Amino acid sequence: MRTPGEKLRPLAFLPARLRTGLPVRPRPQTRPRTVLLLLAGALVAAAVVAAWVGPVPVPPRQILAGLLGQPVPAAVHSILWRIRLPRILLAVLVGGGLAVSGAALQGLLRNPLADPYLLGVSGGASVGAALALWLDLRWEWAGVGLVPILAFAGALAAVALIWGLSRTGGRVAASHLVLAGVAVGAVCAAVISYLQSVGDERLTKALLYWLAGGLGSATWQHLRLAAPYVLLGTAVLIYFARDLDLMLMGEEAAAQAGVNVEATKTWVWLGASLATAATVAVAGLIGFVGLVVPHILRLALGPSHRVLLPASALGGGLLLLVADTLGRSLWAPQELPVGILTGLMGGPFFLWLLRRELGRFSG
Amino acid sequence: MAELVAQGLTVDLGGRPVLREVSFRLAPGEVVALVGPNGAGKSTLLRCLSGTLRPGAGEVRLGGVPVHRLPPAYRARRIAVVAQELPGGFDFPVVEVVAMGRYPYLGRWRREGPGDRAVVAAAMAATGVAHLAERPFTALSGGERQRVAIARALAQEPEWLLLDEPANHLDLHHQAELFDLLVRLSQERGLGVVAVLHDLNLAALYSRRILMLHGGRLLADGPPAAVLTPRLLREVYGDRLAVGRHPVLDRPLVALLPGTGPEAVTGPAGGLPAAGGIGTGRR
Repeated sequence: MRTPGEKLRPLAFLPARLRTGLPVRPRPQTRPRTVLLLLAGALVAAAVVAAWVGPVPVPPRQILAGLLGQPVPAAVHSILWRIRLPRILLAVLVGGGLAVSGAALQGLLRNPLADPYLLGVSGGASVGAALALWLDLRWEWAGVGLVPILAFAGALAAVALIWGLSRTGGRVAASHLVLAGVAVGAVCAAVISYLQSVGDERLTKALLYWLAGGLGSATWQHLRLAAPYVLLGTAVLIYFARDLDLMLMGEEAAAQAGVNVEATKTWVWLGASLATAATVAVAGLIGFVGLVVPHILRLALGPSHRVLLPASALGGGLLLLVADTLGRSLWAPQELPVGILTGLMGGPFFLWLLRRELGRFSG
Repeated sequence: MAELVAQGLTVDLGGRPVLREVSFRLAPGEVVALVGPNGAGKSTLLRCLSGTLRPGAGEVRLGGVPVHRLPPAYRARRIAVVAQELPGGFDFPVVEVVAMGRYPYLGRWRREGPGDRAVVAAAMAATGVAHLAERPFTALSGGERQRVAIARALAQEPEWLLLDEPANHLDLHHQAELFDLLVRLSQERGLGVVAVLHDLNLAALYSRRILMLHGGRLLADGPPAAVLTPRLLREVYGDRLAVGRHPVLDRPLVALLPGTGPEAVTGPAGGLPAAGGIGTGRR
């Protein structure tokens, strides 16, 4: 922990009278409502830019006209409604879902380095997707191919398995969940490696592309598949926001302060799993959004989940939308899968975070 | 206001017996000290009383209802706990940590109202942490954290306050303030207090009743003068303690006897035993 002296040293030139009484670390002065409004505004602005840029630019006036159903050129209408709009909404949905899940898990596990892929859904989803790619069936359900469906099923199966493995005597230890998630993830990774080594080139390439995570194939059907689960999961997490605040004091202290600890663990775990599973099913593995966004926002807003969770949903959507727009326009017409871009940005951030924060939570 | 009754509490932890058939009955508003040597089962007993730990046999009843059956939020409105250490791994400002004590009174979506804020402010004023309100909890000293933890428990407006070694981290002034406060709350509002104490003199000064645990059993239960007797103290703590009378009050006063013997302690070198004196001293 920082001592007052350490923190105040830069002010040593001031007379002692002025130095004493300064707060050690001032409470974040930013008002939560302001930050939420700023995030929402930035999200709308980013969406306008994302709808605008591309091989065929659609200027804001046409975007507005197209959204309001006023006459626009048929090509513009098609680009807007069939390509850009679903992709924008999917980016916001996936980014928001991952970030809100990450924020809630970090609180539940009292670990700032928790990531929604800790849940084990990523491994399960990968195996499901690999299976679907290997089967290579021309099969559709409600306009969605086999890959998202099996990825979603695989993710849920992994979550159920991990939950079952971690449960002893009607209770679940948070540390068991993490360990079981790591174990299931390792098995899933082995299965993927095996499929890649025995599969033909087409399978290997398709799998690699899927694992990199991207929004290139976004359609309204994908949105329709994922949205209910992401929104439901997010609602569950926000419902438990106050309980998560108290859980930061430790499970025993939270229980003594009136929190139903077992119910909180169960529902937060399930809500985050459901939201994450749905995002992985439609967008593959997009790393670090769930880690980075809650963390930055926690620094700005403080730890209270009642603000942090909604802000993470907005911030995650914003980050992924910006990253995806950059990924498809920087090297146009080449498209960089957004998962690669977030990984490139998130890796260094993760290292910085490790060095800066790891000591603090162990206090 | 309800009685807190322990009946035949028996607990094994990791195959080791920790509590054996502990029974007692606490009247509303009583101030009770729980004493005993390390490993006597004091903290375990406190966890049973708060409903955190379910005993292997026996049960704790609050107003006739087993505490482990009470819904968590309802229980938190009646029993508050101050643990030995409130983990500091979070950056909430002090006022928000104390406001967490209002959790059991708030609905899912309701924010703290003026009534809640008044309770929080009163709790902070009573424990002398009002001036720390905006400071991050992680930046506080051990004693300040302890007082914030007590303020948070008081904000729960409980009938029973269970404290595990609340005097830890507190200097003598703050120890006296804290126990004055607890006794005052007991008298004015009927708050029942159960405090695990290592300091037998604090127990003698502030409680009307002392429960003494030894090896998981309730060895003695009564007023200080009946519990802090030379015979019982020798049985529990060995022959290192002497019992006298408080210079001002009609209460027992327990004094520690150093193992090196009185003559070594009162020796010439400013009261410090000479080198090698520790091993050779007379019991």
